[in-house]
Amino acid sequence: MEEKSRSFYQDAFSRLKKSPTAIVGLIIVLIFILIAAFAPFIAPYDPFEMNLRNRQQAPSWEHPFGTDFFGRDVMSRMIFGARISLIMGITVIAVRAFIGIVLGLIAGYYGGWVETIIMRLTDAVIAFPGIILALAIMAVRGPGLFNVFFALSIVGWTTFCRLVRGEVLSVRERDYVMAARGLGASDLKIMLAHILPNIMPAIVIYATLGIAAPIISEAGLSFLGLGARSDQITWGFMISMARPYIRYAWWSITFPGLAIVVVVLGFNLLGDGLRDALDPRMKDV
Amino acid sequence: MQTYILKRLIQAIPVLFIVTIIVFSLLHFLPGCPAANILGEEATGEQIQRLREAMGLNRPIHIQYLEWVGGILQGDFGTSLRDGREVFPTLMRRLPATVQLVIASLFISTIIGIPVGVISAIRQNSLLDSFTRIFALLGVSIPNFWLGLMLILLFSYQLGWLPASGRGTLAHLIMPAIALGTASAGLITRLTRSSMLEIIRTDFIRTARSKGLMERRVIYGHALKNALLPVTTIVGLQMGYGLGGALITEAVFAYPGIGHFTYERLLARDMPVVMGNLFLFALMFILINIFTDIAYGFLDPRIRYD
Repeated sequence: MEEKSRSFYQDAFSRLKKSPTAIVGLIIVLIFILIAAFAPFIAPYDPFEMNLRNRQQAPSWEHPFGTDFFGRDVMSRMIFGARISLIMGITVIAVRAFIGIVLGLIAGYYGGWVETIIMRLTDAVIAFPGIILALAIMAVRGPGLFNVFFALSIVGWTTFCRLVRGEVLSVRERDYVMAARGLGASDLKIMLAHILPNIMPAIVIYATLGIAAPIISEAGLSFLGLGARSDQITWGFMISMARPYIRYAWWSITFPGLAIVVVVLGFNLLGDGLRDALDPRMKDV
Repeated sequence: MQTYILKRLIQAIPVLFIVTIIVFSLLHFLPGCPAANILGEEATGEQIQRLREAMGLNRPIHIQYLEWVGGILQGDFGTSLRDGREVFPTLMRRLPATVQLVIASLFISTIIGIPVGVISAIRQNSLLDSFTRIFALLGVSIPNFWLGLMLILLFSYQLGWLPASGRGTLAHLIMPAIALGTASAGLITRLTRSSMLEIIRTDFIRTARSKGLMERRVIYGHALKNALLPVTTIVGLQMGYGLGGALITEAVFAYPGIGHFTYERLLARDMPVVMGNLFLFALMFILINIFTDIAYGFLDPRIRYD
């Protein structure tokens, strides 16, 4: 068992190394993580320093991505903006995965009316367009990044729940699960030690591909003015602030948006590569 | 078939029940009192109390819930806290513009996504296939509001070809539909490609080839018809998601749809309108999905609804 699972991951890793898309995706993601981690050392300027004499400067050697309405360096602000985008993407997907895994495990393992209730709840949550439900939660709880995190976390777990339940149903009656049950293992132990490791690859794939959604949603909510405050920097908020001047200063909108596209593309490339490597059933797709 | 449709509709009832509970709970999580919100800061306690009574907010919560649901069953979504108008007709007036936008965006994403996905699949691993895969993934990765702004920058301000905002002519619809449809186009391309690749490997395609049918006949006559089945489901789902995505797109293009309207009312905490919109969208999503499943049955004779 131990031997087999290690060889599965080794096998997967060697496949991953051969996939150019996965490597490109991984490099993009790593670069952004490094940028976010070392932002104060990389950013050429203080992201909050205003210089009214230097307003709305077009890109130049001094300011590669130009300056914004307050004369702040757009590139430096983008470098700091990577922090909130990445943290938001990763934490939201972690909470979504956690809720989905717990509910999916319970629904799939116990079945019966427990399953019926959980799955009808899932159907109901899926029926709402995520962004509108998130907006309504924001309207109730007020603006702010924490509330963005909260609203996004409790709307997107349904994919994980359905995925985990489906996978649990497919392994529930397998011999090794039966054997563990025969040996008197508790339900919790069976779910955590025997079922969860088997569905982990699928969860990892979905989580990686799923990071894109909260990053884009946070940008959208900040663009609508409901996320960051003026002492916080996010790419969506930068676009929102620069929007009135779109005709005169395209750079303050174009570059932060490109950052979103590139980081989201990175996670999607990596997720695609992981799917090819970890899920041999879909190897050629 | 009729029994199946009936069964699906009955199955939707518990889901709709949970939907109403979620929507209704939102109003009662609201910090502060809606009546005080409407009257503003100068209102006296007595005025607030009177409005609370008029709005029925002082009654037990389950009575309020039952009245709200009872109203919805009769098409009465309550009245707006801002202008006192009935919510349902107000929403219905704004809905056509959004439905038009969502259908236009789906039209664009299907006429791009399906052919490109098919070509990519039949030329698997070619240079063209690689390009297509990258562009499809790029499409999925672009935030629709930013794409909208970039389109405005290029086609309205630089070239002056298309109006940057508003609604009325076909020209007004082009950019919002592209902004909203690009992600779906990427998704449909990816799905069509993978679905097509799967079908091409099946036995019946091998049989079709080996009995000497022309390749074009095999691809478009046999394979495509089957490959499009899962695509139908995604197109249905995308219609539901499009309703949500339309909110931000409408904000970018000042497009007078239901999303833009709801967003404005959301900022004003006009909860009956927001609740009405949430319920309406969830209902539409559920109905679209039932409809998609039924359409699926017509397209795939293997599926029997017994």
